Amino acid sequence: MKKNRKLRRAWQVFGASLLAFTVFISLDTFVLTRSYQSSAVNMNTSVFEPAETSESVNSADAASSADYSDGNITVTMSEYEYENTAVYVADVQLSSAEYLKTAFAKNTYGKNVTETTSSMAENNNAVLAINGDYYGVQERGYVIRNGVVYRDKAGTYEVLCIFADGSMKVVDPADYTAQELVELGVWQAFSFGPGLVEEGSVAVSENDEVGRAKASNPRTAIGMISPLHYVFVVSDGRTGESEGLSLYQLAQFMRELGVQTAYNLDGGGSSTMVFMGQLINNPTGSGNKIKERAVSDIVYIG
Amino acid sequence: MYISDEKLYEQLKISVRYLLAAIFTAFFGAVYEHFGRGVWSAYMVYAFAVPLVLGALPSMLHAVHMLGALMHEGKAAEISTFTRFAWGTGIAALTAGSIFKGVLDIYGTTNSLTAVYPAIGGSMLAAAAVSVLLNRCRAEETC
Repeated sequence: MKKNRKLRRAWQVFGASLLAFTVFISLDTFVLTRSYQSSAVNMNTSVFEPAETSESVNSADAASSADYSDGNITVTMSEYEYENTAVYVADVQLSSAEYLKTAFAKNTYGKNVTETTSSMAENNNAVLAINGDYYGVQERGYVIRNGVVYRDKAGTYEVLCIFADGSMKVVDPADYTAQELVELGVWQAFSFGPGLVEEGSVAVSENDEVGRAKASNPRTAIGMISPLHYVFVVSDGRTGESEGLSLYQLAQFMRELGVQTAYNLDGGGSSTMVFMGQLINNPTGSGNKIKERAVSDIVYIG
Repeated sequence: MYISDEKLYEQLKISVRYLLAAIFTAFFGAVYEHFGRGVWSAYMVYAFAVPLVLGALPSMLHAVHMLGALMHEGKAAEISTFTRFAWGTGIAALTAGSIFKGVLDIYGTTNSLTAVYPAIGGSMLAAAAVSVLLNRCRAEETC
């Protein structure tokens, strides 16, 4: 009898400890806000020179059809219906890659620090913004933003590098350290993926997916037609009006836009595009309801 | 140890508890996957296998062995209270860890602290295994 009581007590202590640890780790993962110091390896910003193959922005031509043009930045918005999915495309031409910027939620690099894409866009006077790679939910994967290394732990996902000369390349993090990437002139690096289009060819198969996600989803992607000429793409999904795209469909769509390189950013409920302060797509940040999700970071033009 | 009806009944109760834990875990995983908008995790889907394979099945096999011993008035190895406790807590830690890893997978995030679950679970299972060996060698007076 006494033995049974002791055993029950031991089980109670163990159960309570397991529960307490699970609560702690849940809070640590989803709730507790933590800001980090960056490794602060800055790139030499004097390298903002367009690559030789870049297209120069012809503001006179672009202005006639562009939705925004200021001499350094030209943005043309389009909407497509592709595979029963609404796809929003921003064609962006820049005079320098320094106009392709990124921002952290609440201007803080950290964990569980989030803000909506539209709020971050407004705070940074962005002409155009899309959600980034939601670095805050991962513990590994290079984070290089505006030429500064914030996280130098290599992850397992392919890394998108946008160079100061305006070119774009998908690299294997096993091949480079974050410092090496900065020395090579990387201005922005994202760790999500996968790379959708590489050297003008679709780089994913029909069965590729992000983790074990559903095949059709809202998506966010960025692609380069030529250095300093990009497309920002966001597709709706999970709604009756818009099915969503598989990675393969998204890659095909990007290739049809004429990109040489394209990369998948955080999708699902995070997928958001904001242009001139207006929400362009229908984000499903709260289940199937149209609502913006708070995310860690944005990619923006401004 | 000679087997009594009471001890066999106790062993069957333990088996049923593990079986119920496996069913509950499978049900929880299925419900979670259902609301996961098609995103799934092997850790969540197969979490039920931990109490089933490590708990219910060995426990039932032992109950069958005890039943045989009871019918033939034979002996069956006794499992100590500590062994049962260590084995049970090991299973609990591994199951909880698998479910939690599944939740993180489905959300699309990671936390290095999840390594604590298999570390604790594995240690407790190892402690139970050592305890079985020690009890056996004590019973056989070989140590």
